[in-house]
Amino acid sequence: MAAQSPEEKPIVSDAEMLARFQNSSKRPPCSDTLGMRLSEINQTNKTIRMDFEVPDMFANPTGAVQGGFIAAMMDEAMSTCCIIASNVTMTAPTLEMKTSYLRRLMPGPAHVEARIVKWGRSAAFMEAECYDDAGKLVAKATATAIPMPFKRLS
Amino acid sequence: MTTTPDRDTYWRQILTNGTMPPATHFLNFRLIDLNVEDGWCEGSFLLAEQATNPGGNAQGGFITAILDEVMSIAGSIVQPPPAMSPTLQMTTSFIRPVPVGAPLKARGQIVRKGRAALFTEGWLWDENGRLLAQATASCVPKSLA
Repeated sequence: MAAQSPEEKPIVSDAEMLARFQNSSKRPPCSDTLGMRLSEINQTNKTIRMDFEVPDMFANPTGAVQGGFIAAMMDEAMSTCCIIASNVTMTAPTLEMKTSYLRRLMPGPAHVEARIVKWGRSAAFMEAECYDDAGKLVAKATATAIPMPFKRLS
Repeated sequence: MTTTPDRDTYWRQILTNGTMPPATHFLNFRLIDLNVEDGWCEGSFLLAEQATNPGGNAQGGFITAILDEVMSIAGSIVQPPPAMSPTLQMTTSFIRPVPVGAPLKARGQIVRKGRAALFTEGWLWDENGRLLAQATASCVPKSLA
C-alpha cells in the first residue's frame, strides 16, 4: 500500500514518460471531454505541454469558450505537471487557482504550457498559459496544491 | 434606461426560456432566483460524468465554470439589458471535493458595481448546504445594445 518516494522509483526518459501517459488506459473522463492530448514533457524543467480540441459545447452566449473551461484546460495541465514532478508517485489536488482572461478563445484547437514553480513537501505552486490556434496568449493561471501519495496496491 | 420591473422580467425570461448557450446547458443550469437591484443570482447545477477527474470527483475547471456562470449573471443583471460582464480575472478556492451527478447550488453576487469595473463573488454548496467552493472575480460591464 505504501507509495514509493520519487527517490526510490526509477527515472524514465521524457519520451518514455510521455508514451506512458499517452497510452494510459486510466484516462479520466474530464481529459476526453476537453479533447486533451499530452504532447511534451520535460522532467528536468518540470514543464509540460498539452494540446486540446475544445468542443462547441463549451461556448458561452458570444460563441467563445466559457472561462471556466479554459480554467479546466489549465487545471488539467498543472495537475499533470505535479504528477510528473513527483515521478508519478503523487497527485496534488488544487487548493486555489487564479486565472486571467486576456483574449477570447473560440472552440477548436488550443494548447497549454504548464510548469512547477515550487515543488515542496507540503505545498506545490504551479503556473500555466493557454494559447489559441494562432499562438496568441489567451489566458494565464497560477495555482497552489497539496502533494499527496497515490493510493496504489503495488 | 429600463426600469427595475422591466429589467427583472427581461433577465428572468432570458434565463428560463429554454434556449441556453452550450456551456450553460452542459452545466445543467436551472435558475432558482435572482435580484436585479441587489445583483445576485442563485441556480442549481448538475455536473455530468464527463467532468470526472482521476479522483472520481469534479475537475476544478468545471467547478470554476459553474461559479463563472452565476457570477457572470450577477454582473450582467445589474446593467441595462442587453449586457454581459466578461471576466478579467477569477480566483477559485476548492474547499471540498465536488461530486459529479449530484445536485449543486451556486450563488453569484455583486460586491461592487463601478462604471468601468464590476467585482463579484460566488459560492457553491452541495444539497446539504456544505460549502464546496468559493470564488472572487473582476469583470467589465459591457452593453450589447
